[in-house]
Amino acid sequence: MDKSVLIIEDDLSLRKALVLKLTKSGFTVYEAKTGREGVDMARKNNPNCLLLDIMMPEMNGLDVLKEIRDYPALISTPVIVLTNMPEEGTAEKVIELGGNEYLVKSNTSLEKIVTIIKGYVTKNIKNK
Amino acid sequence: MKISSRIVSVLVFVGIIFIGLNCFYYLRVSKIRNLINSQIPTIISSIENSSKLDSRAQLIRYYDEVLTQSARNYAFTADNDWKVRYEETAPLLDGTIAQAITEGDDEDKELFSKVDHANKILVDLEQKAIADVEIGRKEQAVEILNSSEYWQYKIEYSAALAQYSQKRGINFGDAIATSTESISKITLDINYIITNIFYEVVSLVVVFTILIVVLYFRARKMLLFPLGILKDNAIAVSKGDYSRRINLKSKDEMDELGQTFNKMAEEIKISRANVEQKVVERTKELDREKEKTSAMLQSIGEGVIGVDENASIILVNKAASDMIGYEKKSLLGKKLSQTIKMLDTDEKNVIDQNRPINRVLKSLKQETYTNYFYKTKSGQNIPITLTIAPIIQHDNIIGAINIFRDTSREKQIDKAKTEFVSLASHQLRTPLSAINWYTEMLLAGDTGKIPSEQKKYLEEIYKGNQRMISLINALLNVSRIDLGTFAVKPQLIKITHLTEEIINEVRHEANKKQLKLTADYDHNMSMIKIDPKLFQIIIQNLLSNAIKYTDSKGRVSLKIEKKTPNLLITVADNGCGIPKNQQDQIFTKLFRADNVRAKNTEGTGLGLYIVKSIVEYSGGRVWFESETNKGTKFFVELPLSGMTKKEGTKTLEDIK
Repeated sequence: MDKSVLIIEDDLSLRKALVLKLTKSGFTVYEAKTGREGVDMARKNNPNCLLLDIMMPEMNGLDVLKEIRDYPALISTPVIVLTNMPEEGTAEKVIELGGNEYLVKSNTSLEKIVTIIKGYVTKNIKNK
Repeated sequence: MKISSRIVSVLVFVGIIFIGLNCFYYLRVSKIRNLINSQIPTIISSIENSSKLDSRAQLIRYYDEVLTQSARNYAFTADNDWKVRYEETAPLLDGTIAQAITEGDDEDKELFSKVDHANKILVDLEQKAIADVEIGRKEQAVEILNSSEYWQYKIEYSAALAQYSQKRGINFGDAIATSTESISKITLDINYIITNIFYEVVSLVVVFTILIVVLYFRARKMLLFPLGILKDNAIAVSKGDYSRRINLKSKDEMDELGQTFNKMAEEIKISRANVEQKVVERTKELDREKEKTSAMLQSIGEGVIGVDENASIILVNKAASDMIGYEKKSLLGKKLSQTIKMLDTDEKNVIDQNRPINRVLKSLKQETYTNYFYKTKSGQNIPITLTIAPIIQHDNIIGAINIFRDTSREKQIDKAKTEFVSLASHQLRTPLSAINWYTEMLLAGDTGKIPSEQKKYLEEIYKGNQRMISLINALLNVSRIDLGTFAVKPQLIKITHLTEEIINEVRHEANKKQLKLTADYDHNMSMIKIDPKLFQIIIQNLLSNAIKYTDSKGRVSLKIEKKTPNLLITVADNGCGIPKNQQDQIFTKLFRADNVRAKNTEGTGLGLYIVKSIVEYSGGRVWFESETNKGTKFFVELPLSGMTKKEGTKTLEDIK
């Protein structure tokens, strides 16, 4: 069973941590440094799950979310949004745009992230 | 001369005349009395005298008749009664004759002497006859009484009396005649006097009439004329002509009244002038005050708009017209709500009845509003802080003052501050997340087994990092509370599930310390409208405090019960408690009690501050009971009707 996750995160240190953990947990991991890159990789690789940062230069997480939902193949791919700067309305906007989870990075352990991704991926694969 | 003395003189004069006239007429009338008194008794006595003498002759005849008859009857009957009768009557006759002789005139005396002489002879004869009867010689007695001698004297006697009677008759007639003449004369005199009195009374009536007319004109001149002048002047003074003066020159009370009036007018004139001067001074003072107030109003930076009770604009200062761009002139007299448009936070027009000014004019309470915008003349929306104070005079609303300032800059600073805090937190959170995750992987053995000694160190790094994350979260919450930017978003939820989740989260810590953690709440509790996140923050803070500050094997309990109209949450422990002298500081930001500091327990000193703020912002209250080393009980009361909704730009962070 191929389980792939695309990580879109501009911070190198955090991106690396996520890559390490998810690889260790048995996922095929794709990583993108910017929003634009992330969209392209998502279209190309059609991952089973997306980990998406919000605060990114040029194209932020919300724009990425909006764009990938325009592609039929990615319309139901689970998207877990990670942020460190929650603002009023962001959570609502994420849900509105079709995001599945909204988590504060500093308050969430890697273990929890893995558990959540596993849950979504299993469901996603079943649906496919 | 004074009016009062004049009136007194006139009265005295009239009184004297009246008394004089009375005396005069008394004398006049008493003349009539004198006439009657002096004449009538003389007339009456002369008539009386004449008649009295005549009656004496009658009396003598009567007595004589009685004596003659008594003597004869005794002679014929020898009845002793006749003799007694005779002897009784004889002295009466003698007396009467003797009286007639003394009282009568000379002629009378001569006549009555003749009578006396005849009488004495007759009495002698009759006594002889009586003596004969007594000795039984009746015949002799009768003979004496029938003798010619006896009858001769009888005739003489009668003749003398007849002569007297004749004479008396003449005298009586004379007396009547004289009396009649006298009475006629008296009548004439009285008539004359009465006629005179009549003419005099008529003349007096005429004289008095003239006198009254004269007095009337005098009084008119003395009273009515000056009264008229006084009246005219009083009217003039009342109309404000204080220069009028009265000069009657009569030197009486009216004159005095006139002078007093003049004085009064003068005083009014002076005091009026004083009042006018004072009014001028006060007006100047008021103008000065007004200038000061207006200078103050014009120079202050806050916009000031005054309205009357109908919300019509009556005052606009420079700052106000500068801020909203309308000329002062174009605003005065217009309704505030129809002239200056107001927008709410959604940039929607605020309708008339919801305008703060109309609310304050109704509630009569001063209010401050921070969530409105004024639309300027040029169409720009400026955020304002608006304070409206009602003006109340004698319990009546007479208007209100709107004081506002453009808070654009404050909003900018506020935004900058929030942005800075957010940014800082973001910047801090990223490295903290990195430390968190890498330590987590090391501890999970992702890089191979870690020697136990090193693992301990790593655990300390991990815990320290967790504390830093909690502190950042708490600081973010405090800054949001202090800025008032956090939102309260109540939703209808079942609290049992939420409470179970919280208990599960803290149970791990409780178990580590072998604490007995109990939860007591009604599983069938109805739905309640609360913000789940805030509810969680409250319960979690109180429970983790209780766990943190209770020694191993202690007890911590949570109780949630309905105490209509509130929901009462009680968190109790048998831990170290809060020292009495520090209890009043326990809700202060960053405060930690000495006994917990000494125990080296972790804590930010922000938890209870956040709990209290949340509870109070959402319409409830929080308090506690505590005793050192015995334990603490925290109580939170939330209205069953639900938390009060509060708009805000931030949600609070979860705390762990």
